Amino acid sequence: MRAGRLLVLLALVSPVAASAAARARDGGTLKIAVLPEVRADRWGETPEGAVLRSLLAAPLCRIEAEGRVQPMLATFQRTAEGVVIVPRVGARFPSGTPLGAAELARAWTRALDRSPAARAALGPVRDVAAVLAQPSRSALLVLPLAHPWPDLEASLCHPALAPVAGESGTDGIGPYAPDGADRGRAVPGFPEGRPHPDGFAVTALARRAAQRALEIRAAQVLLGDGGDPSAPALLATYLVSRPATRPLVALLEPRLDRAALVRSFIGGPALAMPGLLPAVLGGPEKAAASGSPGRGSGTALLLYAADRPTQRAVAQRLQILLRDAGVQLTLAPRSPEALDRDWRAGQGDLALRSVLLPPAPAAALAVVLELAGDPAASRRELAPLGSLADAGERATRTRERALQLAATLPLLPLYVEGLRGRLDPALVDVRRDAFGLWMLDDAWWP
Amino acid sequence: MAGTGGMRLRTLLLLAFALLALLPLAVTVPFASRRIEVTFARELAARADSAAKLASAELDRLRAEVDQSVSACAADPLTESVALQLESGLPPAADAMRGVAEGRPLTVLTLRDASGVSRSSAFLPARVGDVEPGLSAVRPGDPPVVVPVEVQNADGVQIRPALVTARLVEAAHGAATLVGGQVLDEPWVTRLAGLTGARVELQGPGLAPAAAGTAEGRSVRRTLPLGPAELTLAVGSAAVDETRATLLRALLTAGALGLLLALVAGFLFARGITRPVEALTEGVRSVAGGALDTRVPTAGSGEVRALVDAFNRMTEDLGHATRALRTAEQAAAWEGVARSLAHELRNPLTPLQMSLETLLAARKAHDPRFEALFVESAPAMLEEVERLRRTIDAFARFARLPAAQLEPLDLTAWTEQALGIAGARPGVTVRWEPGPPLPVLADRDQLAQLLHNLLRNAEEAMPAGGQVTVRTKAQGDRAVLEVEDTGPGIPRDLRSRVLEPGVTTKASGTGLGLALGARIAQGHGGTLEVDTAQGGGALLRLRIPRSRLSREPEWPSAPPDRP
Repeated sequence: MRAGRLLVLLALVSPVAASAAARARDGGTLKIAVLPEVRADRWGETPEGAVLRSLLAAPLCRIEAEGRVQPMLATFQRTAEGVVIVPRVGARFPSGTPLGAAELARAWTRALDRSPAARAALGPVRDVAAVLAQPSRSALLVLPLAHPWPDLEASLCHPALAPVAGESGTDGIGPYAPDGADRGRAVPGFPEGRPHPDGFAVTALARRAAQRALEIRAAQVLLGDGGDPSAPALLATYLVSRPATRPLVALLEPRLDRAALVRSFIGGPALAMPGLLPAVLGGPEKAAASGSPGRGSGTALLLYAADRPTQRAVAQRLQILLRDAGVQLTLAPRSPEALDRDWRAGQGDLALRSVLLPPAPAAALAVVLELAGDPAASRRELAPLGSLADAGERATRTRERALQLAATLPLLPLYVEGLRGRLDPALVDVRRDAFGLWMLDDAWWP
Repeated sequence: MAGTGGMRLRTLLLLAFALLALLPLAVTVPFASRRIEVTFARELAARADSAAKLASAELDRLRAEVDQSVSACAADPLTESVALQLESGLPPAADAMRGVAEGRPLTVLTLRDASGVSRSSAFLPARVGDVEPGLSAVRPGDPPVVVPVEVQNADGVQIRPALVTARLVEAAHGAATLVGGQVLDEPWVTRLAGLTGARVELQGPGLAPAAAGTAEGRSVRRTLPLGPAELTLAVGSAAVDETRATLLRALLTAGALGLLLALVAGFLFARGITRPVEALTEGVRSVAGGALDTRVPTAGSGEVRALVDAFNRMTEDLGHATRALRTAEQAAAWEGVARSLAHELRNPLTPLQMSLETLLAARKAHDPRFEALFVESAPAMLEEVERLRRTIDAFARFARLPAAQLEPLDLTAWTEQALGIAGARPGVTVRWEPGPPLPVLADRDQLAQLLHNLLRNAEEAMPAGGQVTVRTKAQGDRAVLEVEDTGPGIPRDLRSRVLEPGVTTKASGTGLGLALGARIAQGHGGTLEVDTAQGGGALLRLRIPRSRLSREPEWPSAPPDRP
């Protein structure tokens, strides 16, 4: 009864009509050139992949650059026991199925199995597995919280929690609907309104070809190359270790020059990340002094994501550095899905894990703790932080805890990357959200 | 025996031919094998030298290629761009040189700064920011040299030799040096192995070894020093060994073929020689057996043919002579028979004639004693007539002796039983000395007649009585029956003729008893011999063939039907 009243209320305040009022004329096809590694990121785990994926599978909400949560596919209603998720009118899959509690639960169940960001986002939900296993039959999905967690809405805006119907990663609800391979057509009934272009077309090109395509305006958007160093960079990469291989990390850390690593091997909009949290979330900009390089022996196995050239380059650099330290490191490339699954299954001694952090310090710390693989530590750390209702105070406390936890968690922060992409200067009304991701559905060109 | 002799001669000839065929092989094969060994050892060494030359040439080609490629890379606009970026203080991407290396035969390409630190690398970007240990020793302008370099793969980092050279990037004004070359890794070693046909091993202290190709069997090695590494080329003898083995096999096969041909030729030659000899041997044996009409086919040539012709002429002459002798002997025998017959007939005829003439004269004279004379003479005349009849019967038996009906019997057992029936004249004792069982094939009736004649002959030789000894014994393949008496014996001059018809030492005998015995012996394939006993008496010895039955036959032991 209570949920029904909420639905009616939310329908009345739907902002669809207002948001479409100031748009330029519709038309044209947005031409997007992507590098092969962007094409391979079908689950949108990198900023570039998330931008591309959001065209067909938008997240539940969007965090504006100033931090405001903008509902897209659903609105959130705080209750005494948690949060109620209310799908918006017009949030329908391309098949016509409206977004409901069951669809959302199924999508999130898959996301929990695949993404540490999703697990961290839903971590504060009490008995989340049971909640998702038996969703209510109404359109509303109630998420009871195990402890206060003011950043839940911001967490739910993560691209990893975008509702998708199948295993393709793009069979979601977006401003565009699939129109053959690598093409999309505008969806008039999208809750946020029809996008300006009539459609988009994606072409996968090598780096030089993609650059050339942008130069000659054969492409209006290039994903995978270039980038704005001043934009938020939240794709954080950590070297995660098993408890038994912590000594290897200790051998590695004094030899690791994060700045040089970023400069020579990462490039683009990337920064060294000496702390658990990136600088954009208030993390430290300089690493604490470490000991002198020592020597060890033995062998170790490092898992990394094969589809990400930067991870491969960094893995090879770590292999060289550990060889100089006397350790033979074997590299084991994995697909992103297999990497998460195999690591959690106990394979490998070390792993390079890259995850798009939420633009809220406490939510980001939750993701870091999830990567560390210690659920008890997560509950222990996050509950006190969630009890701080003031966002500023919560952020400050989070940064302090992150500094304190850095020496104890089995992960070594390496670097953080922003969105790699370039735009045709003629393209208008492309904004970034708090993740630093482009919102292309408003883009248009004269 | 003749066949064995022929076979031995043939075997000897075959062995001689085989020896003649093997002797060259025994001399040739070791010598040829040694020569082949030496030749192929030289060939192997030559192949190893050739492989080493090819490897050196390949290294020279590689040096030129590296030199040219690195020079070209140093002048590449992209290299200059990266070097200028470096000069300006902006760090290039770690793998910025990858674009320069594309399409060029290089597997090492590193841009280092003035302090020797790697700033961009096409193949080992992970080393960017460090001084690469091996490459730091390479000076710009030096000819390509082999240094140890790091090669990275998923399993780790290996140190391998690489042929590299360095060039200053002119555009960077000394701020950047390009070092490039080719890693001498497994693919290169494999290519070199394919080029040289040798097993190639590249190794050195601390270097990951690389090897390719095979060198089976004994190998000849050549080593080329390559800086910190050694390039070893090994040429295996397997192919050479196989060729050598093939040659030896061919040699031995030819030898075996020659041996076989020699044996065949020897066999044919030996057969050509031994066949007439064997035929001659067989012919001689046939002649010895009495077949005087034996002829040997006139095969062969030369001396052998002459020998065969001579043999045939000899047997022909011998046949003629034998027939003439036989004719003469038959004539002589018939003369003897006629003489004996005349003698035997004349003896009773004379008193008969005289009695008849007396009776006739008395009748004519009307002599009153006629009746008395007739009564007195008639019985005597009848007796003489009876005597004539017996004489004629004896000759008739001699003339009508039928062919022997041979059947198996034990001569010893048969003789013992026959003696039991025969009995002896008063004053004569018969002593029986049995020998071993003597299986023979004999006509028991004729044999009984023979024994009867011999016993009667012995008794008649001892009118005053004496002892007759009968014995049987075996002599080789002959069964012997001897009858020995204690009489005066047979005079030496009669001994050779006593078996002829009509020859006798007794006044009243027909002289046909022993002649009949001799004919019976001849009908059994044996002989009747006349000899003198140890005590001086006569010894008559019957020799007939022993039966060759392998098992003991059930010899009938029935007594003779007639005496």
